[in-house]
Amino acid sequence: MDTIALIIQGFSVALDPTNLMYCLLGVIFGTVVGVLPGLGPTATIALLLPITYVIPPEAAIIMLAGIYYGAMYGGSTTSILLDLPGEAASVVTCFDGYQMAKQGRAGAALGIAAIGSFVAGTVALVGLSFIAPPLASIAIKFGPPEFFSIAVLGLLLVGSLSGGSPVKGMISAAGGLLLACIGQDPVYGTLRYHFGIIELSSGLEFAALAMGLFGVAEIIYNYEHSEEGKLITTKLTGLWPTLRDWAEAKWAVVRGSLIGFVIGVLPGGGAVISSLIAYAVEKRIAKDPSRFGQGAIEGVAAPESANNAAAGSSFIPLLTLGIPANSVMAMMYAALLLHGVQPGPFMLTEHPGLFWGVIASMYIGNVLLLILNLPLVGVFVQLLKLRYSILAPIAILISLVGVYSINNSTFEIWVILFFGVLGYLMRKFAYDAGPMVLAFVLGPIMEKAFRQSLLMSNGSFQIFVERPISLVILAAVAVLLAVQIYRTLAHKRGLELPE
Amino acid sequence: MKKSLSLIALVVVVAMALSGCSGSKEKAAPDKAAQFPTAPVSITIPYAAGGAADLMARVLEPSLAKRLGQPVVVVNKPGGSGAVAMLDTLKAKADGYTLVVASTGPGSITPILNNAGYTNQNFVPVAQVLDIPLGLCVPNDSPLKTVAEFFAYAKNNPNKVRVGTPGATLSQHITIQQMADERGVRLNLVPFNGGAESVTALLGGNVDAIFNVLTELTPHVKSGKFRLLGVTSAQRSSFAPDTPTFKEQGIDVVRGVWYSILAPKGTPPEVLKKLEGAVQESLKEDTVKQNFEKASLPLSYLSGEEFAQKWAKEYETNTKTLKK
Repeated sequence: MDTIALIIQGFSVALDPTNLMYCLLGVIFGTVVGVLPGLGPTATIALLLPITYVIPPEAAIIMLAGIYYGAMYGGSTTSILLDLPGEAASVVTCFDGYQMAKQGRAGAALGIAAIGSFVAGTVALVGLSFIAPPLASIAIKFGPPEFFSIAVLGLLLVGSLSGGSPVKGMISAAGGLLLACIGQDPVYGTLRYHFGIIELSSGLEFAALAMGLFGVAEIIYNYEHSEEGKLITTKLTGLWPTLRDWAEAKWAVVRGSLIGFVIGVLPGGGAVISSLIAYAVEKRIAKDPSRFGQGAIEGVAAPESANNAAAGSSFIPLLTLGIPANSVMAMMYAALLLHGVQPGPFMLTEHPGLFWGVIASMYIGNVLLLILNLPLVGVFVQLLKLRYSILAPIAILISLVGVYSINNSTFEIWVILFFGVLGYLMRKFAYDAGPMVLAFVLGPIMEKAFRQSLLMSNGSFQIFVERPISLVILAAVAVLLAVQIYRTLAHKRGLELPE
Repeated sequence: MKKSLSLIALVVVVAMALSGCSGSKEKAAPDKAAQFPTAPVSITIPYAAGGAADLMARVLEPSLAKRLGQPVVVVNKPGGSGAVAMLDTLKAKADGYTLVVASTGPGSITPILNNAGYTNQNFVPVAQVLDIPLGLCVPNDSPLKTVAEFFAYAKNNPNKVRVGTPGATLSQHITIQQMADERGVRLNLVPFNGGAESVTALLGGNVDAIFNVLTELTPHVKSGKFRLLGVTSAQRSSFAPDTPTFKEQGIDVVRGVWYSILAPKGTPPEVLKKLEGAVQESLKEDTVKQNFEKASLPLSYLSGEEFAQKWAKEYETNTKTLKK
């Protein structure tokens, strides 16, 4: 009852005309940076931080938060339309989103992404309002051994995502792990595989690698296979998700939201892992898993919902414990400090107006985003009516500018082109690029957590099975593996597949 | 026909972009040092957003920009224990437009330990801005009350006590390692990526203690989650006036993590003077002082020259102890 009264009080803060304007400004900025690959919310918030000195703290935080969750909404757009994932969290969306676009169902994909994002954002907010403190205190129990186990689970799922041959999927994933080794080791900072190239000493840039392997490779491939300046798709059916789409996707949205919410609370940020797990869950429980990778709407709905829910729940450790869970939250932490607000357990009691005002503004921001994004779906879909001879150079240009803007470095442009060619060759020889990109993200998480765990235990491997959470996750890994091996063996012997 | 047309369009776009890449090494003609600055000045932070170095640059930024008459752009380039940002700065022209915030780790540890490809000789300091003491924290329910008790307990339980630090190549890690070695104590030191991660680890009970800069500890000491056993400043810190220093507790360690603004060697002296003046003036501003206070960052200005001496001395000592 108290919480509801406080939320109502929060709405009186959030509905103040000034605050409402900053909320709108934030979500518009967020949508723009989300749509442009490369330019992320962290950089945008960093740039806008000095401006927020002169506005009241409530308005400042409301705007910065708007940028963050607004960017999560927009993140799927280029993934679906052009197969260009600008951030790690939207890699999974490419798998089915782009296939849907190719079948002329880009509108349905974008629409379900926006609606899924809205539902997920709201689920995360309800969670944030009612169960934030207990959840946060469970989440911080996750130490290095638990992160290692989760990363192992993630890698296993990566292997099973691959549409084609499992062996080729594993080769691709192994390649991703090796690529992730380039640069400094995540614990002691020793240089590896940099071949004297200074830019490589910080490792490969994720966006350059992913956009190369997906978007650029796709363009090269299309040039080889398309007829005369063909469109990405010849038919554009329906701008909106149909009732049937909705029926297929609704539970995926709900499951994705819940998975994203829970994993997003973990410090260290779970947007990628949550979108991956949400996708894998859908594929596993689907009646016909073979549809995945061919444009299954659940394959868009689940990961998009998951990464938006994760964006919402990553506020929990910051607001309740004063721990920034990812780089965007670190920026918010700085913004709060600069306004004399110490994020943490006392925020609720010392600055209730700010705390609940920000949360209420997120409810409003979510609605604003939905209103803003749904008409945009129609606009974006029109893009696909462009002849490919016009669209492809534009897509290439967007990618090149995007990766350049990450570090203001032309080196990234060579990286994206290199991976564009590599991605083209991989497609040609039927290697899936998805496992490579996801393994590239998971590799460093796993390596760091593994080595930190062993440092904690003074070299004893028991630490991974002594701790209950880690043990449970590893047990799940073992079961999944066993089922997989059993199925493969059974399949080889020509037996009926047990379901 | 159409296909070849579009192919040509594509090739033209890529070729234009690539020609831009190759030309990037020859930027526009250098400005005269006397007119400095005529373009935005960028300050690179060797860490992800949110830490002390980042906060410091962002608090200073508006005031520096006002004094220089040009925008100041703060860029985060984490990685390689700070080496990436340091090397990046060295790649830029030594004209004062590219500065880096270094602290103890990237300044006098990473280059010695890692053969990172630079030394203190490659940089000239503009000024020191902060000097933050370190503190040893345990959870509030721990029976340990003093630094001596902590080391005694760790000595009786070799390889059992897990101590989190914000990174293996930081002053925090190396200082506690040295203290433990001197006392024959065997700790399980766990390096994390940054202060926030190590604080999380102690909150979650994944380590038994953390050794970190004071400013990242005090919020949690105030909230009653952590107990601060000691501080490594020469005098008690105004941020924790009730906690005795290591020295008061009979452990002769005075160490702080400094944060200074550096420029690549070869930057014209008149440019350096202008930058140094802008930093010094900014630090006298009331709003800047208040903002540093709000962010719990202890100001400690040293001129470029004063800091250069301090740095050279620290670098020399570290070379001896770390190369052992």
